[in-house]
Amino acid sequence: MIGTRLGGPPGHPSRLAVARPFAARGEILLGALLLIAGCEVVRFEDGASDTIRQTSQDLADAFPRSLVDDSGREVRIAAPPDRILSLVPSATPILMALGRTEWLVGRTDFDRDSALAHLPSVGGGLGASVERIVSLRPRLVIRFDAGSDPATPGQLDAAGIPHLAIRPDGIEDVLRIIELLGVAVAREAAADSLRTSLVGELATVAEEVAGRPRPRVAILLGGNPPLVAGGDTFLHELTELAGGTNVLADAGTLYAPMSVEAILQRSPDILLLSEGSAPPRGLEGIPVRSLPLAVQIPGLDLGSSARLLADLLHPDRAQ
Amino acid sequence: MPVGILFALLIAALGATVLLSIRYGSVEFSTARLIQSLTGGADETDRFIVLQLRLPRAVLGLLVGGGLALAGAVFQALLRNPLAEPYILGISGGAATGAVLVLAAGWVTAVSWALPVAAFVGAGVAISLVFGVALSADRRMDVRVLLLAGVVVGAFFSACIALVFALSEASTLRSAMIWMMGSLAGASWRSVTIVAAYTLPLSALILGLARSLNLMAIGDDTAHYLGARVETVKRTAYGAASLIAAAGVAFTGVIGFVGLIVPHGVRMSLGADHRLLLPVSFLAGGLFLVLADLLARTALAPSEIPIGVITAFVGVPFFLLLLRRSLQG
Repeated sequence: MIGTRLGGPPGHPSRLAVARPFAARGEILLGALLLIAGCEVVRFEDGASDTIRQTSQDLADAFPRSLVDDSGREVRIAAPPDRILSLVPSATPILMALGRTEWLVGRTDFDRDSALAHLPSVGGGLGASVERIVSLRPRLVIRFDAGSDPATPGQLDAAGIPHLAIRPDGIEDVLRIIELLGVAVAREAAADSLRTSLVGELATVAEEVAGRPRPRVAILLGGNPPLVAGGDTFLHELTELAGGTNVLADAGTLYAPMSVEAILQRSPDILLLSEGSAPPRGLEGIPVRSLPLAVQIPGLDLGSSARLLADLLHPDRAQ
Repeated sequence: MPVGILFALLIAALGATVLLSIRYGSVEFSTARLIQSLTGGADETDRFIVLQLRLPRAVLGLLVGGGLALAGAVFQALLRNPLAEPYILGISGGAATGAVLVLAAGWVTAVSWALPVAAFVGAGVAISLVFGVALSADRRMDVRVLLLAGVVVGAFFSACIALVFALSEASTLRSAMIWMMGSLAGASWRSVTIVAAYTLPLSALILGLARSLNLMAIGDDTAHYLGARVETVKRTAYGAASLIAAAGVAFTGVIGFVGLIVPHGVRMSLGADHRLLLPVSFLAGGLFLVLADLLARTALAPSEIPIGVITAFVGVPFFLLLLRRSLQG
């Protein structure tokens, strides 16, 4: 169904996907999905024909299902989670792309999509109001796997609301999360095609920069001493994929402060500097490229982020 | 005002505050719906919000606010220092170090009780260090040594926290900062039970020492001549007050200002007789914190403001006014 219609066979990303800018393609994809989702709802409501009863029955039969989330917990979803609250702004577009926009019952202050504007907000994704969450009667909550909010998981357990913890740190994580969410909302085929097209986009970018000289890059996120992106970050992954070499890959932990002299010693050709921050003293001589904030969120936009980085690192490529 | 009426008024105000705090929150409730959820008529979700989220939160606020104010009053009396507060013996630093370590290690998601246990253990380590130093020199507990050791141990733990921050990622930093500003959001009946098991008996113990504390306010030697067992009273009161603060900080994070301004406020209004000061501080501290939490939950709903921000924003101007008035009077 959705999977076969939107994605090509595995390993063969649709040429349409790479020929156009991602934003435009995203709209088409989302539009198509919304259309299909909308049709299905209408068909559910009239409920007369046999095929439709079949669909709704299939959905009910697909549950209960158990899955292991990013915190390693086994989460059991007893019935189709047709009331979902996503506390992770980068997961919400995935749920929408999976055709489950109708299932969302709330949003966070960071979900700016106009299709969600009518939904009540529960506040920020971290430290959202638990009573707001509970009052929306969700059948599934998607939350960050982080210690920021140690109280919420226990309170959701007490309220009997299943919750799925996700940790979108790197490219692999995003792909895994798409699959996990696909299973959670019984849209495995659609998740497969989303994954395939994302992998395809990334592969295309990698192909386009293959064979080009790789500039030596340092990724700086502001601060003094500057916070740098080490080898375990998705910014590192994206940079390497977009045809650059992260000279600070050995910086150790994910993001770590590093002395200016240590950065100088690795003689970077380009500083990728977080949008809005100034280069630290001592590094003024090195050419700077501004890293837009949009690139700094790992989600469905990874493909366009990779493309943007490739354009930044290989400006001659466009011609 | 007769003492009986004062207590009756305080308790009535407390009751009203608890009712207010289960009536208002980030979810709109009608009074009818509230009554239904209390009497069992409403649906499961309403009952959960009122009985499992709002009520334990109010009760925890009462216990922790009362405990912190009482501990503050005790420390100010024993150390004879107006700057003394419940965390003076390095308790907040120790607790925060425990909490930050657990947050940085990522154990919080795996084991839900890891955070309060680590915070309590951290507070315990700080208390034993300070007591150890204060008792090592002499058989008698020297107040100045206690104060100095407390400040130095606190500074050491601050350095530990800074080190963990420097080596950890942004999400750890954020959660640690939020923890360090305090919040009652994690309240459950289980945490209420544990905090009550520490706070109530230890508070009763401290209230029993009120007369001795009055004598010791004059001076240790005078108190000794007047029949107070100075060393026993000191150790009991320090130990009890520290444990109350440690239990509170373990479940709610570092909530500042309550233990400093509430006892001073009560002292300025009612005088320094500990037989009155201690119980009134407990009630007023509970009242203050439940009100502060109500504001923290509703002012910018659905987002919550750290309760430490409210206790400072509301408490400090009120306290400065009181301070000015007491100087003029």
